[in-house]
Amino acid sequence: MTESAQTIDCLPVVAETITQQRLDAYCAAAGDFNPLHWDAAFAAETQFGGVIAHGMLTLALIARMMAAAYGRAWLESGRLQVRFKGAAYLGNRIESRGRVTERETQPGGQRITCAVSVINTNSGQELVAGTAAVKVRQG
Amino acid sequence: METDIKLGPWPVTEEKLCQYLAAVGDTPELYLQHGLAPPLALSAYALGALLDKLNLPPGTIHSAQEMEVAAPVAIGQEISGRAVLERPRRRGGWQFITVTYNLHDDSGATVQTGKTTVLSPIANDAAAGPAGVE
Repeated sequence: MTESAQTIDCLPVVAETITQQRLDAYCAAAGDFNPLHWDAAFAAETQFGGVIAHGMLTLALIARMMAAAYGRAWLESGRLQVRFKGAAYLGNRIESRGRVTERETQPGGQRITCAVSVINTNSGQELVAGTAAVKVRQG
Repeated sequence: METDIKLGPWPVTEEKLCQYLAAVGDTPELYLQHGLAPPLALSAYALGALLDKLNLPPGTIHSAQEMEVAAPVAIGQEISGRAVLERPRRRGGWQFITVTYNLHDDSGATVQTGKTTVLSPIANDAAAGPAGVE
């Protein structure tokens, strides 16, 4: 079966638990050393009241979900558009959600658009929401 | 504040990508199999560089992100880019800062475009939090 013949409607769930170790690793990997993500004393004085995960780390669950669903097509033609609606705190478990909302036939393949989000499974709150799309080649 | 910002260059090495993938909880098999970089890693590098260049205050938070792959990036390529800062908008004790960016490979071909919006606290005026963002 080729990618263009796939009929995935619900995308695979990707989950992570937010730990300080993961945030420290992300700071180093992405060069984002905002103290909101590692300095508990600083973060406690902000409106968040504690350390929160990087938005891009939370968003990475959606990228992982799209890569798991569409493989190379995501690496060659991926598109994302999201808003950050809430914060993930230390100890929170977060999960990606995604479903296909549109399949548009284009020359040589199909543009597939998905509604995507990241949910805090502790509270049910939606943390990230938006759309992701890929172009899958025919045959 | 600078409005036209040079980003990179970054060598997209396997080691650097594996560091990123481990940090986000991903595994490298898919990317190594195809020899291609995960697109969001490039956005993450761009954002990290932007935060550094813009010298934003501690407590700055991410509000929105767009990313579009124009061409796949092979592992081993060198990527650089340019970013343009839009005029900041102020709401309450927060400043909305939007930056559009364009990443290109060493031949000058565009490989990714994107747009980042962050909210930056204005000193002594942001305790209540930004409207619409938690």
